[in-house]
Amino acid sequence: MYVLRRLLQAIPVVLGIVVVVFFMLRLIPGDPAAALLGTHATPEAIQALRDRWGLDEPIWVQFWLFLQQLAQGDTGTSLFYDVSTRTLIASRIPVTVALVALASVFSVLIAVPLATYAAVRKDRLPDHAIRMVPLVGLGMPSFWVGLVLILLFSVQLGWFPVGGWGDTFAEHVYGLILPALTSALGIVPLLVRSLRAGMLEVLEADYVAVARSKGIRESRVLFVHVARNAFVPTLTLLGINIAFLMGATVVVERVFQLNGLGSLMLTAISNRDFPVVQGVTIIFALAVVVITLVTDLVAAATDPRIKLS
Amino acid sequence: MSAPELATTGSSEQAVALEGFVVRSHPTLRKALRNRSLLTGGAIVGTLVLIAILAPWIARYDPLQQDLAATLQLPSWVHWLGTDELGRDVWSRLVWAARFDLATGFFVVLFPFAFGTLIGTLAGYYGGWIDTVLSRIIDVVMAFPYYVLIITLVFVVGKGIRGIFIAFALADWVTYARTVRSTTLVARRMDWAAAARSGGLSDRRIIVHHILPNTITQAIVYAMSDVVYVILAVVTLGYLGLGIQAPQPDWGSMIFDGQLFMTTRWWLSTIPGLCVVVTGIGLSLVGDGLADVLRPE
Amino acid sequence: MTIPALKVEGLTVEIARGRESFRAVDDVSYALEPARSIGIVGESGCGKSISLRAIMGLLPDAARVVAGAVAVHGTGLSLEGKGAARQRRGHLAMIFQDPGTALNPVQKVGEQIAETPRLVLGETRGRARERALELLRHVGIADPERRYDSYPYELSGGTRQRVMIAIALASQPKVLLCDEPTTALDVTIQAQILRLLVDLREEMGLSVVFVTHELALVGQLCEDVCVMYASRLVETGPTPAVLERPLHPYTLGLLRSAVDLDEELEAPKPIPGSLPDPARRPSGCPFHPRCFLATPECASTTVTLTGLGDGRASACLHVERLLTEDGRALQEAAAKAAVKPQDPAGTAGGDGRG
Repeated sequence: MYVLRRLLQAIPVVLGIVVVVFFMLRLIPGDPAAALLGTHATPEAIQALRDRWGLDEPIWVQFWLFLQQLAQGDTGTSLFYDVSTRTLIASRIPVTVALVALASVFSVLIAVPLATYAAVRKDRLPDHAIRMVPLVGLGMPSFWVGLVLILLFSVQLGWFPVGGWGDTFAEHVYGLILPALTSALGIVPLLVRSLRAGMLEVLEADYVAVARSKGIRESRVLFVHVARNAFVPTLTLLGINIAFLMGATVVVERVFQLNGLGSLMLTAISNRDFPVVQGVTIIFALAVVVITLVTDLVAAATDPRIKLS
Repeated sequence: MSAPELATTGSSEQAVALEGFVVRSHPTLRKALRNRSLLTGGAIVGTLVLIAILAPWIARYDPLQQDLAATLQLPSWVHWLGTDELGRDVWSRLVWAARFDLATGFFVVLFPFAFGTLIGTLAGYYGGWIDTVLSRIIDVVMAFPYYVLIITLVFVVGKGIRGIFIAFALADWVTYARTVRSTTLVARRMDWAAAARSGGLSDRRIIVHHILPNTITQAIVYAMSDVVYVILAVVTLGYLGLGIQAPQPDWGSMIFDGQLFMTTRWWLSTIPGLCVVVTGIGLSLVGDGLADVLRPE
Repeated sequence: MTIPALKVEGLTVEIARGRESFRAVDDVSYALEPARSIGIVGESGCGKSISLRAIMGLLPDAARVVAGAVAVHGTGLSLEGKGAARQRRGHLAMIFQDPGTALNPVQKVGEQIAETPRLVLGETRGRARERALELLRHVGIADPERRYDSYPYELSGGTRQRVMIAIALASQPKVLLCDEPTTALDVTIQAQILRLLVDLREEMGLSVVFVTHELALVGQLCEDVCVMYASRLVETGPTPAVLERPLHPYTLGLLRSAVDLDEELEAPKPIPGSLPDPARRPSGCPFHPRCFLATPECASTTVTLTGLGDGRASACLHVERLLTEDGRALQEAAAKAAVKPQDPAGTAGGDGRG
């Protein structure tokens, strides 16, 4: 029941995303075809592009064309490479998925222990130190963090490659460590701040005192009673912040020369390759919708109260 | 050195007098003057703003002045932070970049702040289909990863300062709207709001005089972190070549330009980044402090 | 002389708040005989709940026991450290004030009860489940098979408190510590839960410490009573005697401020002033700023709980006057005198519950 309701809620959001991405072309000042092809374009080339996108047709016909393409998983042919955006995007997805996944893992591995340690040592030195993390971390541009990490770990110490993705699986993982760390550090401050508050709430809760008063082992108190109650807010928090994390990977991919969706988008922007930009944008937004949906469903499976609201 | 000292004494005496006169009767101000986060953050942000305003006098050279005979010089008394690959003075560029980046950050949030607060208040106050429609719009905008949306919008409407303003106007109001909407929902259910309504006051009067004063503090507190996010985004756009356009100095483009010389001139990229970090710390402290001070007892 | 079921001696707890620290419980001593019950009464914030948590080994991080000893049936208990709460299994169990926060929201209530028999008493899974069902039935929950799989949010406040009691009983304790077990409940439910506690106590021969801010409840439940004010005990004794003839002005104040439903509808008369901040406790007798018997010596003389025979004790400098004169009459006279010279609205200063 809850699953169905949650799925239905996602439908208007997906429709909204499609409409927004469609209307982006209309935001281009003047004739989009002329603007995209640049000043050297011949009138014939501009007219050809207008015909291809149906720019002389009424707006709903254009939207219908757009939807038809989208139904095939496509947003048109790349203006620069002359292949379908679907092919281009598909080839770039693995890098970005791996980067986002590894970055999520890193952010949890860094933020959860820090927040827990701060909460357990509340108002003492470790807590005060850890509470500085959000303060300093929030103002750090990801691309700059990436550069500093490259400077330290690749240039000075030589531990990691300066960039790139390698050829074998081992090289992929190895090459992803610094970029994933960079992306993770972008959301760690946000996670630490909220998680610390959440952990404090759970640690000071009466039901934890009750669990202790039963005489069960402290490890069981922590892993069963504390962890299970702290899991849902952590998951929800990660779900909310993953959108931001994905946005940050766009820039991080550029810094580390990774050929993922972010690099594709930035290259497409410098080539004024509009269909590709549209395609990447829509893929990112849909991914966020799916991830939010999944985290909500997992949270509901863990916390019986969620299904009520 | 004696003149500035005199000035300081004078102003601190004034401050004491002020404290005696105004502060005692004004609890919020008194709380503000005792709040350490607010004072520290205020000092950091104040210094940065002062540097930005006084850039023409603090910068020692024209930030655009190239000197191809003296490129990539090491820091010295002549050039405090050395010169970049075109022989421009790095210190001067840093100071002028502060002017552009801070001004952009502060002015860019004004529209999202005002528009988002308005939309959030309307949605929360009237509820019904207005709320449903506005909430769905907010959901849709929030579904796009922040940087993806900003970068795409800047690309579509045109890079540079004008593009930045339009892009943030379109994308950045949603967080304000969402925050204010939820606090308005709470405020509307309070007894005093019901009393004001049953007293026959117009909706406009209730919103302006009763609801907004209670909800806007949240928006103000968020605006402080938002200035950080916006400056970060502007700097990121600068790094990607979509932001403040060359040759105008900007911390982001300075980091990008310095990247090529990272092995030998590491400070070219590192120091502009530190400026962003310090700005972030200052504004976050102000935000934390404001949240403490404005929180009702 | 029997060995007390629970003996608390000189219990002193300090709580750190910022840079300073204060005594939340100061030199509290009492003994609970087997199969009897003792009530601890005082306004919210006087330290009574903290004293229970200290006994249970569940003090929050900022609090620590600086002096005192606790023994159950003659066995001393450690008061600090991670294992402190574990050491109490089979001896002590505690019922918390708010069943809404005391049950784990994401665990089925049956499992929360079965946890003790399974993990502490070493029963098998099936046996632990049976035991939990038995306990659910025992605390008066209809259809225990169905309730076993409920989550706390699906239950009413009264049922939750019954579950809480079942959890406490699961460890087969000899002493039950009750921290205001009915305060968070509706009045009608309160009566049911109290009935249940009385029945269980009789049936199982439990010894009970009952913490409350309502003197009337102690009258119904407990043989002995300790009155607590500003972290210290100010009067102790057998309940009927204390209620009949209080020997401390604070006890008199509590009695006078209580709403008595049997009497004609009179507004309760609160004790003037409010409970002092424990970090800024008045000198001498801490009650002297609110006391109708106070004299200048009260502010300078340290008072201690002094035995008066018949199991009674009081920490009042002027206890002689209360022994020889009618305390209630003195109190009324003082109240009448106080109303005249001062602004009547300004004297009350709080509802007496803090």
